[in-house]
Amino acid sequence: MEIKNVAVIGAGAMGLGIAQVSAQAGYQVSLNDISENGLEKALKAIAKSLAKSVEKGKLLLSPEL
Amino acid sequence: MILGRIKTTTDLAEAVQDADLVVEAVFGNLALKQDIFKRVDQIAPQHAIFGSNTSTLPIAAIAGGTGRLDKFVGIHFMNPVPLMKGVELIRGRHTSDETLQISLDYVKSLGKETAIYAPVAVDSGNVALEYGVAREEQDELAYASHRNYGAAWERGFFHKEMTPLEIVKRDKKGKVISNLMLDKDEQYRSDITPEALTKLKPIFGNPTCTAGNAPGMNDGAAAQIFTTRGHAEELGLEMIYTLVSIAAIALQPRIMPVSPVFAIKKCLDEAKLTMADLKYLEINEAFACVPLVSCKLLSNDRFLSSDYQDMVKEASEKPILDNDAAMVRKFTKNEIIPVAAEYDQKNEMPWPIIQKGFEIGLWNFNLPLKYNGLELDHVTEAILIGELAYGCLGISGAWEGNTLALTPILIAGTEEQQD
Repeated sequence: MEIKNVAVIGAGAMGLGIAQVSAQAGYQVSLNDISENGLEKALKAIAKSLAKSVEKGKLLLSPEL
Repeated sequence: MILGRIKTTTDLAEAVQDADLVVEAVFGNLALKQDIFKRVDQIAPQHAIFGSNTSTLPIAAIAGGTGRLDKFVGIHFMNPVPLMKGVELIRGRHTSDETLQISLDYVKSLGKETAIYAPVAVDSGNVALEYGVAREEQDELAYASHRNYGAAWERGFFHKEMTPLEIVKRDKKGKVISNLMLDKDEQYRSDITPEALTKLKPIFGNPTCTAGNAPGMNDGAAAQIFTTRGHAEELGLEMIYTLVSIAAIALQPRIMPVSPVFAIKKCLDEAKLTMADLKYLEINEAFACVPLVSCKLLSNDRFLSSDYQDMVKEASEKPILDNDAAMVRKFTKNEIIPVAAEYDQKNEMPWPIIQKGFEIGLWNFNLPLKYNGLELDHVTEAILIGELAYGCLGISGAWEGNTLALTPILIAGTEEQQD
């Protein structure tokens, strides 16, 4: 079986990190949390982490591209 | 594009309905994880694999409420996830090879390095036996630790070290519903008895570790301040002790119970000290078998006098046994293995070999010293017999057969018979 879609339950520090590395590896990620606010914060944290990687030259493209 | 691949939802059903892999990373609470997976199990596709981000909770227990025990695995990431290279995969009792392989491929595709581990209690419980530390010894130490902690606490020993924490629970209106003062280690049980410890079942299917002789699932924090002697004198601070040497080590995860002793050895070697220079040793109890296995090695002359690197290598391949066992191993290799096949065919009693063993003192493992025995405990005896049996089961059987009649005499014989 080939994994294409990854669901991550819990958008705390661990969950958002797992969602980020999974998306970076090319998986379609569905991030779930009981809190809407928690999900928003998680997305912001992921964007920030990705931007940092671009800055450090670890990622070549802008995360939004 | 990366962000575009992440969709968010507060609806659990929507999140998992098309998932091939569900990774759960909520708080380390068993009931919560069980509840989530029970619900996810109803909605996620039949082929989907479930991974729980945990290193402490049993995988089989988290998977318990689902109908897919074989598709369950522990995937333990380290924080911060994007930076930490290591990921632990934990195989549950029912996890299938296929599930493990798919999870392994997934973790590798993330650019992470991984190894498949058994729960630490499984490794510890087995390593304890390999080093001749039986369940009873572990229970005894656990019991003694509870008693010692209690006595020290009663004497006020921890009062200066522990900061009491008041935990007040209130209802929605602010009314206090419970009030708890945390001023003792949560793991300590004042009512513990040896009988209660004996009754506990080993955890995760390991042979010796139980909830009673394993570490509690609580945590704490402590801090110390170090400075140079000159600076301390300048500030007029009282010096409690001097740090002579410090060492950190990492061994294969499986042999965690021997790791403190390797740090101790490294520390001693670097400071050019020996065990005789030490008055006290403090080894984190964690599992009761950790200090017990460590003490076995700290009384092992061969270990203490050998090169540190050699010992690391040996420990990663097989248990480092004391001189007796090392001698038996050498004897097996030199005297038994070369002739084992020959004796098998001849169908003869291996008297010459047994006599050779007798000459170097490998005889009567469990007999008291006063009857010319080695006075070893049964676990150690079993390890020695195991070494012989590695060379030839028949010869080790003949060897041990000679002592069969001695045990009843030891137990029930008169003094005259024993002599």
